[in-house]
Amino acid sequence: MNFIDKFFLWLVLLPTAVYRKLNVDQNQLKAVLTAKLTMDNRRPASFGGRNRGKEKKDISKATLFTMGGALMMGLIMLFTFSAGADMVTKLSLYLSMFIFMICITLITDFTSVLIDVRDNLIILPKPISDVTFVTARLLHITIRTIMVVAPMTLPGCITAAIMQGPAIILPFVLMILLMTLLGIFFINAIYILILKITTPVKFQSVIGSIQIGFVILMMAAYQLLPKMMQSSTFANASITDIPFMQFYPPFWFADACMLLSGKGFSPESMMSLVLSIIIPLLSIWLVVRVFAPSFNRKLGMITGGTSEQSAPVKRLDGSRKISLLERMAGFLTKSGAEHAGFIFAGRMMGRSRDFKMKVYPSIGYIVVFGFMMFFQGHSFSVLPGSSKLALPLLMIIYISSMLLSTAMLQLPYTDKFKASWMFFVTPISKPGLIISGAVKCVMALFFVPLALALIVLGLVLQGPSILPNLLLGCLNVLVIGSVIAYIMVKQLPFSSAQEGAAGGSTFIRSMLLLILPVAFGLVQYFLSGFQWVILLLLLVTAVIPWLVFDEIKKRDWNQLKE
Amino acid sequence: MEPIIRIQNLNKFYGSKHVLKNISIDIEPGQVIGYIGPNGAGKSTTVKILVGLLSDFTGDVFVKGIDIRKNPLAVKSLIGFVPEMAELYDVLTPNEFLSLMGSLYGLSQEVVAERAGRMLDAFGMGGNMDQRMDTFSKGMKQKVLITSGLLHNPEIIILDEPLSGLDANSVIIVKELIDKMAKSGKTIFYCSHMMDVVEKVSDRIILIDEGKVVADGSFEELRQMQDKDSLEAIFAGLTSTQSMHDASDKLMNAFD
Repeated sequence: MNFIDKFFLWLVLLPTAVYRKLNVDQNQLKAVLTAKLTMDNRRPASFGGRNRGKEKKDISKATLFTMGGALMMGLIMLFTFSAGADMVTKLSLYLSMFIFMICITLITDFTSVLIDVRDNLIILPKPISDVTFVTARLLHITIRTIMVVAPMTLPGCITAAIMQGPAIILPFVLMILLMTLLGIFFINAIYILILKITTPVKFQSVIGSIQIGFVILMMAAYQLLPKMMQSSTFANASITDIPFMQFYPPFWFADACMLLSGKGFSPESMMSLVLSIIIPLLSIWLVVRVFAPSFNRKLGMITGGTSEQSAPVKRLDGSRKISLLERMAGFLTKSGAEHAGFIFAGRMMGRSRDFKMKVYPSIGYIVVFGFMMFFQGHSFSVLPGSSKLALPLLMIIYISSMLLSTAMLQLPYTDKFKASWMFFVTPISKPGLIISGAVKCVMALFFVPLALALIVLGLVLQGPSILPNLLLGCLNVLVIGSVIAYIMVKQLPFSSAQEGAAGGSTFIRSMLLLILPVAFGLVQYFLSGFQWVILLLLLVTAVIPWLVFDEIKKRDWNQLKE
Repeated sequence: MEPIIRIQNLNKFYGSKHVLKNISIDIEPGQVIGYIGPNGAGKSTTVKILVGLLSDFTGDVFVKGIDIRKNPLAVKSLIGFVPEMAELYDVLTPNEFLSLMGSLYGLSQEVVAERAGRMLDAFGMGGNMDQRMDTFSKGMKQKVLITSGLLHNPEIIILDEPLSGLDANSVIIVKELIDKMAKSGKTIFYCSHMMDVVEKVSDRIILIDEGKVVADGSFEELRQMQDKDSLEAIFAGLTSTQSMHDASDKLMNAFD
């Protein structure tokens, strides 16, 4: 454990009276938390145990990278302070954005902490009460989340202090903490509800699609605010004028925050203060006392359920069916190893639970963003020399590179990393071939279908004149994807253990990588009027991905990251 | 005859820990080697070096005259490996997993499909070819692993605790299989803690302890040398510093 973990452990164990009241065994609580926090900072030894003795490092690079990404998100969130007439409005917007980010991060990155199936074999058989166990789990995830929350809210806190004076700092921090708790319990409660509805065995497969659905839903709700902000009247409007705002949680927190900092006292704000404290605490109580017992019992069945024997089926004789995946592999890859890498990655990406949990929710973004762009396209300034339609289509294309980078970043990781011995004992000359096959598969599955759909859409709605720009956009995304793969994917697919929960958020890291598509997109935007430049660029960019892939293929064993 | 595996002055360190100390072994083709030793003796490290998982060792390892450091790929294609940890990508089906292994060994898909089908049929798993392995029992996974190690018809087969999780009938199948493969000229390197099995299947037993070879010979030779009846007793005599009864007494006394 590093000093940050030690500090938080000490902090969360402080309210002993609360734990006594909840019937939490504090010795067990401390033991479980200590073990979990220690494990988060350790990576299992890889083959040959070469990283033994290297655990001294306090904070890993991935953690720092994630914290940097969170800080950047925090800076982007500052734009909310420019909207609205009064501070309550600004804060409500800021906190809406904040809770949204927290929920997404929880869903995509901390689900494995909320539902750690190893607990079934190690902790659940021990004489530990459900209440203690759930409390430990919630505190664990709270500590992990705060590592992301702290850098994310720092810019907001400073800005608020500049606008309102230092009196707001403490209330601000308090409200952020309460909202984080609310987010955690909200997500946890949702999982518990899902477990109640479905069978534990199905849960694993259901959860992925529910996550996606949930992200889409949140994304859609979230679109309401910026939409309102776009209208010119809104810049000078106050959130308090909107009917039913009393039912909107971020509003309570913003209102309470203002009240506590000594500004704006009213009966309503008293109400907000009460709600903003009561609701998170009530949700603790609900999760710990009401939901927890059945949750743990069902959770135990997630791994227990696998013992049901699969009955042998009669094998179909006759010729082997060639799947679509194999067809694509045949078309896109050359050598045996690259071909194998493509098919392997394709199957694993479709089935591996950890991969799906981390990557599939990003699909939600693209879907919602796509709809939004498409139906609001008219409000954007038109692409010079082109049609109204080209810009929204292009933006969807560029935004989808985020899905691509999320998938690439997740590609090397799996719980089953030990199964990768097979790559090391078989005669593979260049591991780069397998990586290249896997990366191609990521592109084929996570980008090509969307690109084709958009090109067809563009052709139908606009005609061939839109084609050069769309093609260039698609090629640029392939360039971006292959460059990210070249820089970031230095391990065989599904061969490494995810750096513990402390290792940070794939989601936030891929947000950081959004800089690339933004840069490419801007360049294309300014050049889009010059048809011949676009055509020339088309020729150039068509070559780049192949060159990059050639480099990836050449990657040797000693160039892989340990 | 030229040895098929020649290990000379093999040394391996993990950090400052010396795990293999000057190991030299020559293995003839067609031999079944029982490679045994207590936990932490260096068995797995030797195996990892032989199959090419570890390359930072000193000394020489030749397989069929090929230097494993100079040409690891050629060596890897000669060896079939069945690892101890029943770790595999269990979201795949046996069919998919074996076809992946086959491609990595450079086999054509037709050959893989044919062989995998026949081998799993022999294990009584023909009907499970297209089911995901995450619902399989440990023994079923082990059967798939054994198949994956034999798929490319290797000359040398390295088995690390291959019988773990197998039911009694499958144990008989595998034991007979080892026998038949050795008769057909294949070399078997068999690592196990199950002394009774090692005693029966091996032509030659190599016992290592604390990174050194402490005994090397046929079961008969070892028995005469040590004047003990079972391999278990020979093992205990050579590797333990205290009597087993003492140890179990101490364990029981820990509660006092």
